Amino acid sequence: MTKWLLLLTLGFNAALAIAGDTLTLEQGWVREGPPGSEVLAGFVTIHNPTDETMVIQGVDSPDFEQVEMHRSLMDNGMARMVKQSALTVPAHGSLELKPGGYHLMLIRPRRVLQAGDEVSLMFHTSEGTCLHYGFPVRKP
Amino acid sequence: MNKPIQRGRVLLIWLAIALLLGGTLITLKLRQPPMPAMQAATLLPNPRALAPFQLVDQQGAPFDLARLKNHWSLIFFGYTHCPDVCPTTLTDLKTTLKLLHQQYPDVEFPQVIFVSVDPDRDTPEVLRRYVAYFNPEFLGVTGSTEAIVAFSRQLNAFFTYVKPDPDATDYPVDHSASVSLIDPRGRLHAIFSPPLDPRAVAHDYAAIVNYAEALQ
Repeated sequence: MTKWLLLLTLGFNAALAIAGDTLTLEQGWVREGPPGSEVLAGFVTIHNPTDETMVIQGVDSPDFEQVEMHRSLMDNGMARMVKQSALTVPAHGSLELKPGGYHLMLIRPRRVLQAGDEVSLMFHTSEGTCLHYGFPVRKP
Repeated sequence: MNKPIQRGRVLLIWLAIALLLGGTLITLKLRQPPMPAMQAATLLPNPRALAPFQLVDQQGAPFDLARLKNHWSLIFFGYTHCPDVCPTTLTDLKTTLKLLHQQYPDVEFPQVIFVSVDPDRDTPEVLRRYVAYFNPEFLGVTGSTEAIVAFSRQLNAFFTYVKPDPDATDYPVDHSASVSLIDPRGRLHAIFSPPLDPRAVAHDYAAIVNYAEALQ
């Protein structure tokens, strides 16, 4: 009986963890750049399993001097980059950062980065939490 | 009495010759292969000859109109501090060349040219490293701001940027994301608009080149 209760409790906890109380990031990667690149781009899909809209207010990384959130837009055939002050992920929805759209602009790498390396990124939510992820560097 | 009849006969013979010639011309015209439907390219109704220009390539060698002659060229405008659109486009062009190799091996290969619209940061040396990463055959081109503006206008391409201060090193550049196709006579022939689909670009490029060669 105790064993069953324990299993039930464990199962309940696991279910809670899956339902989630914060954002989860999936398939994050950084595009390898030509040697000497001063800027790279990072992409990821951000899921929001919660009942509330969640906002990422900033991203930083020990591997870059600066990280900004941007969106590439096509305006009458002109490519424009628009700096984003926040990334908003709808409740029970997701936001995809992908080439030609939303992306992380990773400015001045602190070390030489090439495919196979991993970079460390910290995503700060409006809730005050910090989500720590490692993104692989790879070719597209 | 004989003369009017003879005149009539001469007229008839001329008429027959005219009909024969006209018919042959019409038949030839009809035999001309129809232009295949384009998937991604916008063709200029009349290819536009480019005026002379003076730029410089990634080796520091002069890059002028003569270097666009006798081969097809795909030209893209961008800058090396561009984190998203430029690497995406250059990767798409690299994929396009691979597809041309695989699917259209008989079609003459284009020269891919990346023109930097950010000469302050993109020196020939920076460009050399940058373009070689995507494909050692790609050309990187830069020059004075005036020369780049004049050249881009000829290709219906535009760019604009605002430097926060004269020594600034961080500033984004808005730029046309289309790819221009230049024919072997140095004329703007077609434009590929974004987003580029390498399959569609390879298909249209091969169709345009085959068609142009069939006409010669």
